[in-house]
Amino acid sequence: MIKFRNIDINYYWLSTLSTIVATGVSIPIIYLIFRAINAENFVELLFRERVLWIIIRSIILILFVTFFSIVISYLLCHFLIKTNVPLKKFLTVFCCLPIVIPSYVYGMVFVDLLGPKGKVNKILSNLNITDYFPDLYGFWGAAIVLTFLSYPYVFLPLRAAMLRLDSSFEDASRSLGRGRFKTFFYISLPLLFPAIRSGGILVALYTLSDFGAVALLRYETFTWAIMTQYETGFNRIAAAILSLVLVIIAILLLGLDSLFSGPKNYHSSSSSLKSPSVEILGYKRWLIFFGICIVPFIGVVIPFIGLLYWLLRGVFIGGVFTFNLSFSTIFNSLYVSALASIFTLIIAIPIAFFAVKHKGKFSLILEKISYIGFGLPAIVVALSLVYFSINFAFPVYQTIFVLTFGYGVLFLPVAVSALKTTLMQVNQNLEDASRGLGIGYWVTMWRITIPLIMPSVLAGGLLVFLLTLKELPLTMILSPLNFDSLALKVWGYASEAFFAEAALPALILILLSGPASAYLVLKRNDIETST
Amino acid sequence: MKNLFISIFISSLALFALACGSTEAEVQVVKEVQEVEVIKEVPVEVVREVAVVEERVKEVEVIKEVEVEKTPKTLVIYSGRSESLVGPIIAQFSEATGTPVEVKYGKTAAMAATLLEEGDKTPADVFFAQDPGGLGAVESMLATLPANITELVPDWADSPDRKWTGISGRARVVVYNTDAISDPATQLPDNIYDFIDPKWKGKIGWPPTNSSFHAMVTGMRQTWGEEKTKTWLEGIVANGANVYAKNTPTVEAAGAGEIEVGFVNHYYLHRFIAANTESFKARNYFLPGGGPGSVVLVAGAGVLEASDNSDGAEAFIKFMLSKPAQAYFANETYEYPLVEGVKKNHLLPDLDTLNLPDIDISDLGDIAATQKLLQETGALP
Repeated sequence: MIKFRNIDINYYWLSTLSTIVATGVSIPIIYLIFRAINAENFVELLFRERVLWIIIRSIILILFVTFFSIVISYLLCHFLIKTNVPLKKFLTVFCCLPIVIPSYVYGMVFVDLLGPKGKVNKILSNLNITDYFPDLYGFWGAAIVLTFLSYPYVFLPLRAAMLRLDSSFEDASRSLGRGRFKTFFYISLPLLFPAIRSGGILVALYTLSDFGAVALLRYETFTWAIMTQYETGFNRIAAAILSLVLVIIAILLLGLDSLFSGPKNYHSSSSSLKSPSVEILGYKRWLIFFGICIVPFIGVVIPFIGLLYWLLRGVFIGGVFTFNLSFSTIFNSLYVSALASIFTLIIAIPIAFFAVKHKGKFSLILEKISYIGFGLPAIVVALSLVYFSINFAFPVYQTIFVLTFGYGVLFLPVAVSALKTTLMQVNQNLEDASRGLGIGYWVTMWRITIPLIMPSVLAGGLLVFLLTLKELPLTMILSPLNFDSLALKVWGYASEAFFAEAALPALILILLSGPASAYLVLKRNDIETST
Repeated sequence: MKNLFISIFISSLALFALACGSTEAEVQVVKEVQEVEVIKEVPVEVVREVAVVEERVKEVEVIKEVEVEKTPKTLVIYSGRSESLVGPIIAQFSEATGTPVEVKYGKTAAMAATLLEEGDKTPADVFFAQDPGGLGAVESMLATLPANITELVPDWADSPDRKWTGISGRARVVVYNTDAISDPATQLPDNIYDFIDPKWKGKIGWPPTNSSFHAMVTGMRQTWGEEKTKTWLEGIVANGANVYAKNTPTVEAAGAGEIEVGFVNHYYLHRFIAANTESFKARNYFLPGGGPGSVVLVAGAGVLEASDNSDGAEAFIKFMLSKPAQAYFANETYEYPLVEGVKKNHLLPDLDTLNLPDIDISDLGDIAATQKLLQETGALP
């Protein structure tokens, strides 16, 4: 709804900037339409029973992964915030780490360790513990890997929202006689819904676009079909047509997301927030501790152990074995990731502000457009930018600029959702009060709004940083010549079955991400209840 | 099969440097050093191996093969082969010729798609691809190579209109699990066609999205014809072949015992053995019946028409076809050298014994019809 106070010059500024950003990030869609127009036999390609099945398979996977990411994240947040579980900070950081594991790495390790004939099965049957070992290829493997790698997309915003949630609402509900579950469904859930939604849609789009995990765990999805067109058919046109279908699925998911609308205002009216009340548990807190540990154990410890095993096997029993890893490789990774996060935040700000401050059809559409890049296979985004930059911006082709722009197109929604959820919780009255005192719009924003949302800005930026660090297909295509990064190294070795050599850069990648994740969780100066 | 050693030419790198630096023919004494690692042998070579171990010191003639004038102009290479495989030999080229080199490494398909998007504005001078499919996809963008380059390799290993040339060869093989198959010569069929026998149900693995696999199926269409190829694909699909993402996971699955046999390229196995030692439970079987199941494919390279440094690009390809570079591929990547007079890796059977089927390798780039057939038979979505 556009209110009177918002109709001023700022509306035009924000709408113009947002339109520019949305146009920039629509390049892949424009490119896909342009490529698909040249197609002759798209009816033959598209309208096959197999295509329908693959769409259904993709959607089932998306729904499963998204639902369980939300459930897992909610449980984690609940126990980490509302109980006195020990080592709370450590656990919280631990729970964020899976987001840094590249899905292609996890896919390989998962098969090696947990495949039907993997190492774990061998150990179990050698020890005569059990003869039964589930075949985790196909749906279950893909679903497990993707759920445990992508739940942090929900966990992070949900945790932030829960910490900021004024618990006096819940206390009031409980004291008025509503039970724990009713309070959850009528009070907590609606208030936390924006955070769940913003994380959930990212998980859904991530699952839609993932190739590494589904290929290695052998579950055919739509992205898998698109990659087949590129990789073996060398057929850009067919790939474009299929990718447009993917865009349509992404739009449907985004539309589905808009159907849910939570309460209008998310902020608290009281002057000070009441911290969440912490349940004091006895020995049970240790049970919860181990329960929580299972989640990051699957998400990060298992791949870590697998990589470490590869590395040690290479060092101790392997053949000729050379590490070819320089500091410039590590520096490159950190450098482009930092650039990408700054750039993505800059372009996310107008979109997020416009969407929150000027709610309406127009801002909604621009916001949704900004999400589509995340749901496309990165190779599509990369090729579209190759086409556009070489034809219309030749001087910057194969420079760090196009690469950074590409990361921006991919990861914009991650930053937008981080900003948006917090912006919605900023009490409009604070801004109005400032304006009422005669302070200008921009000064108000600088003095009031920005400081309030700063923690989320940092969080969004770090998230983009972590995602860029592990990004592979776009980096491969858009990077400058002679460019080298950790993710490229991992791929270069792993694709040729040099597992020990691949393990080292992969481990460095994970270790580098650790401090960033710790910062993401701990440095936020919001209400933190310690044990 | 409990014997035997591999010795490794550790001096080969030094050899390359000498070869590139000098202008006259010279004779070097090269010591063949026996490495501590014991790697179990592929059964086919058992006999030949004994002879190799005996020669401790041998003379290798190092000939200044590469006649390249110094081209200071930067050469831009798009490499669909990964840095771990070709990085060292590209660096050799750069050092030997004084040519500054800028490389972009990526998947062959991604590099081909990038080239197609770039069109005639491409900064690339050379495309070094993993398979004929990748080169075929960008053939319209490639310049014709001079005959003195393409004549270095056998006729079957380049494109007939000289758009690209093979650099190294790789054979299609059946990788098998040694627990399930103890005597491949009797337990495995001679011809890949016979794997449609229902007794192989649930025991086969393949990477149907892999482009070498596509080349093999294209080869089948050429030698067997459409009908027989279709019957074969349907038979393998009916046998419930396990679908893997690419060659490496297929070989891994054979080693782990998930599958008894897999249809892959030959050289991945050697790296698995290097990483796991002899305990890795898979070996290659080069089908003695010949036919498309043991077709030899190439990794190759071509010069971009739009290149502003075609001299440098041609020098690069010549270098890759020089004896030191070919020996590098033989020893370091376990591939077949394509140039006359370069010894293949002693772990591999002779190319002649593979009964090279009568397939024109450049037609293996014709993948559209193959892909359609794979879709019809349900091997691909």
